[in-house]
Amino acid sequence: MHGEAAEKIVGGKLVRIKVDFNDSITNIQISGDFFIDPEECFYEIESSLKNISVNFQSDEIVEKINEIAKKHSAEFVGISSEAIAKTLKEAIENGKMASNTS
Amino acid sequence: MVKWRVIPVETLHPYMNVALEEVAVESVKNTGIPIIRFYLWDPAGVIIGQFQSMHDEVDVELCRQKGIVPVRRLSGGGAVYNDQKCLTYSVILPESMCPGGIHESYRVLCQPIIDALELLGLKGEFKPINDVILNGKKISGNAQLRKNGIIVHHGTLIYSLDVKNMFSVLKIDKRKISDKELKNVEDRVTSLLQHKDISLDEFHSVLVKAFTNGKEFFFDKWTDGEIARANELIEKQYSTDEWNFRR
Repeated sequence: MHGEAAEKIVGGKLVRIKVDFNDSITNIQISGDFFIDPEECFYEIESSLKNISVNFQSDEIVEKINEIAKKHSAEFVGISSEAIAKTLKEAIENGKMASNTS
Repeated sequence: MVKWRVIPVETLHPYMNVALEEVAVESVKNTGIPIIRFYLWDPAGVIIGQFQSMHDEVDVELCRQKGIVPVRRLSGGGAVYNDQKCLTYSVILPESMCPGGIHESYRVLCQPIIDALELLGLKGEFKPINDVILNGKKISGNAQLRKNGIIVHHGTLIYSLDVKNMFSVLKIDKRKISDKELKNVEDRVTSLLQHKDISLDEFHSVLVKAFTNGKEFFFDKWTDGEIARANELIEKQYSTDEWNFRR
């Protein structure tokens, strides 16, 4: 299945997630006009979300992202771990809905 | 007092302009000498942020038809359309010269734009996160990158606006402006020429004055070695589909 979602963070930027999944996430792409420094932190966050169960708890994802950010002493502008978790959940729900209606 | 290296306006290919940003980071890292550069774009380019999706943001086919070059830059942020009349600036400096975190550094490094507008009798305002507005409309967008202890702060003070080209090649997401309660994306942006009758050369002089105010500086050009390094980066990265269409 494939799902997409985009979230505009009020006063911030746009976060868009495209995800391929079955029981777990097989492929994920996070994009948008936010800032994450250093860039390596962003790519590690993205790859860390591969292979996770689609029934994930948002809190777990937020914690996972925060841990990676802490490791890199990263600064986020216009994006947050909560926004990534929320948009990822929406993308999966959108994918399930599209699959059910096709 | 630190002496700044100032590279006056030059008109370059979009690949060269983005590659020189990385070259400037390497130069500042090696020499400790901060750089201010000014540049125009020929051919025109659509420059997307590092984390953006090219196909989501840019009408690539239309760019090809119009001869507009799509390219991904190193910094985050949004897509911008730049051409021969988009006078762009970059300030590249060690992080130690601009303490206080990202939000504060945007405020500090956007100040020369407000100063330049003031020199022209206009009252610009900093609008967090990374814009300068004039009469409620965006006149300057800025982005930052931090790499190896170096800050790159770059942006455009919009001189004239080719709205037709700009919005035809940019796929602007309606959600992006939803909280700004604007019906039309074109209502968000203004340009200097809409407020002031000034030549591009005069505008460049004002920008140089505003950016160098209170600083010791010298005018310079890129060394042969720096241009060779930029060409190498263009070949290996900035001209490649692998980089520009990586997402």
